Amino acid sequence: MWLRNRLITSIVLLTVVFGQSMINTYGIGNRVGISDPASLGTSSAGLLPSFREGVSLTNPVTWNKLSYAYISLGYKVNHSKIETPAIENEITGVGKFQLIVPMKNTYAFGLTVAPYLDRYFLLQGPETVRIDSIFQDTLSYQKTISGYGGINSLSAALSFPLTKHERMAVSLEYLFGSSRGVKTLRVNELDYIQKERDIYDGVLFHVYLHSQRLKFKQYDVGAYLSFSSALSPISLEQHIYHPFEDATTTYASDLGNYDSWDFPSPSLIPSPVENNFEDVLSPTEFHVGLDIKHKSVSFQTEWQHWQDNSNKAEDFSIIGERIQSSDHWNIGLSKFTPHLSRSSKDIFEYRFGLSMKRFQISSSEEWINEKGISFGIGIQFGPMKNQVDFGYSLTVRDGLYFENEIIQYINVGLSIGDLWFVKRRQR
Amino acid sequence: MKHTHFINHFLWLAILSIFIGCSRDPEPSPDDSIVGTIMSFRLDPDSTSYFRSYRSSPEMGGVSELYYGSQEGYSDIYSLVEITPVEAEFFLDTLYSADSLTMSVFSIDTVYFTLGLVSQEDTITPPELFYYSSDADTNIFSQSESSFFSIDNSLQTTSSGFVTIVTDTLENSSFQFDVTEIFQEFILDTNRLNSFTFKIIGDEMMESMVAFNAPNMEVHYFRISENTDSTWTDTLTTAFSTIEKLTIVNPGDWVENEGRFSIGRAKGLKSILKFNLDTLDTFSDSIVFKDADLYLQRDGDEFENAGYKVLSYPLKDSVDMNLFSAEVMDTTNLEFIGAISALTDTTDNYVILNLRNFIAYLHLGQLSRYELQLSSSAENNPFITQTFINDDTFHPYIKVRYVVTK
Repeated sequence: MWLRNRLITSIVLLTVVFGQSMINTYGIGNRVGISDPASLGTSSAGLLPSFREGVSLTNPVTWNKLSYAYISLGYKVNHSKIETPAIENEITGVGKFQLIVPMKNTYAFGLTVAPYLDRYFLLQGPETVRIDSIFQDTLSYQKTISGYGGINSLSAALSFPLTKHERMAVSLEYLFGSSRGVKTLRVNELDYIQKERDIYDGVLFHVYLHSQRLKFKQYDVGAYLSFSSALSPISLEQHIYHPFEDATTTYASDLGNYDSWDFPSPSLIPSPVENNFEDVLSPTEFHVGLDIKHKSVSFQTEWQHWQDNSNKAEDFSIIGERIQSSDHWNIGLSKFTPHLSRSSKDIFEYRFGLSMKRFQISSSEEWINEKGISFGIGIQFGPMKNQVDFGYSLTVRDGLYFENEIIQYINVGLSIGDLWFVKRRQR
Repeated sequence: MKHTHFINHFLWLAILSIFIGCSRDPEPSPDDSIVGTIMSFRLDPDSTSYFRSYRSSPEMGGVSELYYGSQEGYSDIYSLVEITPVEAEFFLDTLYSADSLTMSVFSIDTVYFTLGLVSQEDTITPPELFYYSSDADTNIFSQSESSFFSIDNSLQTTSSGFVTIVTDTLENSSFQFDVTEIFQEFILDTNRLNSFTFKIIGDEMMESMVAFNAPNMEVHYFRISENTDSTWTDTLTTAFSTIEKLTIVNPGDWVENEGRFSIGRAKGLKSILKFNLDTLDTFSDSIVFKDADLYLQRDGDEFENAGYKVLSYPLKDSVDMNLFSAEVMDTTNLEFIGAISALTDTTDNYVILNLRNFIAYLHLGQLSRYELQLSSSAENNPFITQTFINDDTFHPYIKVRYVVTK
């Protein structure tokens, strides 16, 4: 009963999501960053091994090195803070769900469900007072825009060998989801609201390559590369609802909802305007990294370039701009658990990383820059090498409307292993 | 075990504290022009606009008082009332009691028809009371069906006889008609009919109008019962009260003044107002009308007719002004969405009608025509005619304010 009550409480809390950032107003939203705690610990974009020696949960080309099938679940907390003016926001939620099945250390396949793009934001203009010369009275008004939701991804990946030292993985990623936009103009304490619902749909493909051919003195050098592009660029089905005056009623639940109290009457308005747009976002991504390993310690460096080949996303942005491209660079250090150690001291993995990221905005020569530092720890337990991972990152973002936005990411993951595809002895 | 319990609680509190820290502060908008604005404009009449009175039948329903007589501009004012027993159906017959041994016989004593006088002046000329018809003809009490021009006066029959003025203990005066003969001739034998209509009309020479209320009828009668042993008499009373009523008036003539338009119920006066609202078609769909006020200015003394209530309905059909005359019912087809009303305001003699529904539903395509019909509310004195100005000193106009959310 105790556990059940706690679970119910947790589920209720999981559904409460408060969080937004100005950066989510660009285009149709901002791409969700690192969503597994091990990669977060090394500031990696997910290409290089950080979960376990030679394994990244985000890079399917490495999955064959897992000894067991894993179900992995991540939970994330993002906190952002701006000092002047004082703005503080948080977002919490499920980061990622994965099923990874390796086969005889040669092949692997996996399914992943993860958030792809966030559209959480809340912008508010100043309260303005002006005289209406026609009505000869005074108007006070304030504008607010908010967005909710975003795009999720469901991907299926398959990993296989090319040569003795080279491997390849391919992945298809189906993007789906919806977001809502709410524009509110408060005039003399009365809200005028227009809502919008956007439904997204698209397919990406990814190719991953890995070579373990290089060796430099006593160091093993792993080279990793990935490329992804849109098989079907993201399309948008947009429903624009008729604006209404939100009547002040005695029922708090009526506020913000379009009901019979409001004006004009919901029964006398036209149907929502529906628009369909193709090729709203067409991302291409190139990713390269080196993993230099000595014994159980890895030094890693990685560069990622992301680019939107469509120029339509700014048409759907509240602020009329989009992120045209971004570059991510990081270095990381990992101390992995020795492969066959039985010592109780060797259940811990340690991670550290530094990163830089910059975003190019479509209509501006200015860049948005991020600098981050991260830490992480992994704890293995049980005979199936189950693992709990914690990742923490502190990032400073500049170049948006306000300087020095401090963002903290906390990511917690639990990976439970089991033995699949093993021929049992007959009794 | 205790330690484990403590650690469990601590862990859950730690996890919860992560969530409790969730917050949602708005970020200041970088550009104040990114969302919406408020716009206002004033719409004045153009060459396609018109503000005209027209006449329909007088509309006298809904008033609390009834009238007879005549007054300036109106003649042949009379009232029709339909009365019915207050309690159960009333009819007189010979009855037998349950044991079939007692026989009762009824005998009418007197029957009075009474009208309460609104004014307590001594010089009021009493009306004449006519028995009009029995039961069921309820159409004559519908102001949309009945008027001075459509009433069938051939149904009017015998007038009552003697009338007296009686005053009760509260000093309220009333006319009391002896209608015993009418009762015996037209009502007594019409067993099981429920209601009876009377007409109250003033003398043809009357130059004043009298208001009255609460018409009712009282029947005083005896019941003589006898059985094998004895005979006895009961003195009984039953009352009839009003269920339908309507004053009918000859509206007389009306001359429309240049630069004026009027409304008034007893004159059958209404007005049609048309503005050129083509500009609404140019507006985006993403707007909400916040205010739309029609400004009219009254003709006459600032404090005259204060509180006069004006009704306005959007028209459904096109209007041919030539179709209207004093003898034709108003057949304008009205839309009830967007209906509005306003009270006259003594400040600057304005009547300000809130046209927001009308403008908004025109913009949304729920209304098809730009015309509005102005009429007088049933709450007003029907004999007051309200006139509005439309000349070089003042033309009606509309002020509109809307919110653009896109």
